[in-house]
Amino acid sequence: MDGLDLLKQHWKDNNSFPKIQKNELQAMLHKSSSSIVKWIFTICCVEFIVWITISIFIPAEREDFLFFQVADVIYNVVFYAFIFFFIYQFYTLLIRIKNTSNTRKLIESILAVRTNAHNYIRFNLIAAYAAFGIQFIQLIVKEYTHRSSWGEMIFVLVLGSILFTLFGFLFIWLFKLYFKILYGILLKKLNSNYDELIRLEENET
Amino acid sequence: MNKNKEIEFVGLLEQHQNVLHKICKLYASDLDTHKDLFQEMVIQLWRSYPTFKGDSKFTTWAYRVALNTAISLYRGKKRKITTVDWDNSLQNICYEEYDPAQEEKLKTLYGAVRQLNDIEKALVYMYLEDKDYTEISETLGISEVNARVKMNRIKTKLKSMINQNGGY
Repeated sequence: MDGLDLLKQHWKDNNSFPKIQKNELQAMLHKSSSSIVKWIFTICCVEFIVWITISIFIPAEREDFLFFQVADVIYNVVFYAFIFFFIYQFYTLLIRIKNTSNTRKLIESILAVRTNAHNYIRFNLIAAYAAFGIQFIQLIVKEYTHRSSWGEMIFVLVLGSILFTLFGFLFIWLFKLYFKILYGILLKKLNSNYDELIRLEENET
Repeated sequence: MNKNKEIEFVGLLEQHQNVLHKICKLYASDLDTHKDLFQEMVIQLWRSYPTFKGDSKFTTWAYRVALNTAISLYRGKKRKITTVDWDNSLQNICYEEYDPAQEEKLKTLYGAVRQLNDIEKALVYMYLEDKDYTEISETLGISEVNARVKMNRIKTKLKSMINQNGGY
């Protein structure tokens, strides 16, 4: 008889667990969940609030040129349309998480919310980077129209390019670090269980 | 949800609570984690209770939600309390005819099962509960053939784990 069969022999008769009374069970129903989904929900809500707050409270400079005024309006419309899309997507993905689905589907639905959060942060960083780029172009144009000397213009151009590149690398680094630390720790178990399920299917097919 | 539903649910849960305890026994290594996981399972079951139609057995519905909780939703114990070794605290009262040799064997087996990963533990649970491979594959979302192959591998793995630890 192998190990598991020996275990099976006793498994069904094993009723030695401490009996939990009805009143204790009833109290448990109303306790707060500490599930991964609740954590992801909370973190995503914070992310939405933080980025929207940042975008609202960053002071906007009144532009002299019509071109840049139009660019600002387009930027804002596109920005808030995307934010709305991400919130809608977040809601639809969240209600798809059902603990009655099969294990693989359940994990995939949780990871889909994570991917949405991933894309949301990526979008915000790209948007911030684009805003920085627009500001840089505006600065060059201002220097040019104020008939600054070539020396000043080259200085602004070189400094701006260096800062633009550095900010680019900084954003990418921050993005990777944020996800590695936060979601990496939070979803470590979930990711490894999902990998196991996928490996199981791949090995045999 | 109305009070009647709550009473009905608690009644069913009290009657079939061993389903949850058995899953906790495989996934939790100490009593505190067992309690914590049990509580999370109860919360998850209560949340999805409106989807329980009553046309399937309560235990079948409950074990699926409970397994999903252990594999995908449970994050781990919120706080560290003084832990009590699960096997020592409960194994002794498992059998009416107490047999120390038998108990030692079972303790070794439980120890080996707990070293498996979460998916393997789920397969072991369903195997011990005599679930057929169609049900196992539906519960985990893998093919029936793969469930069967994996189960055989787990048996081999457990044997080698037990042998490595000097047998029973």
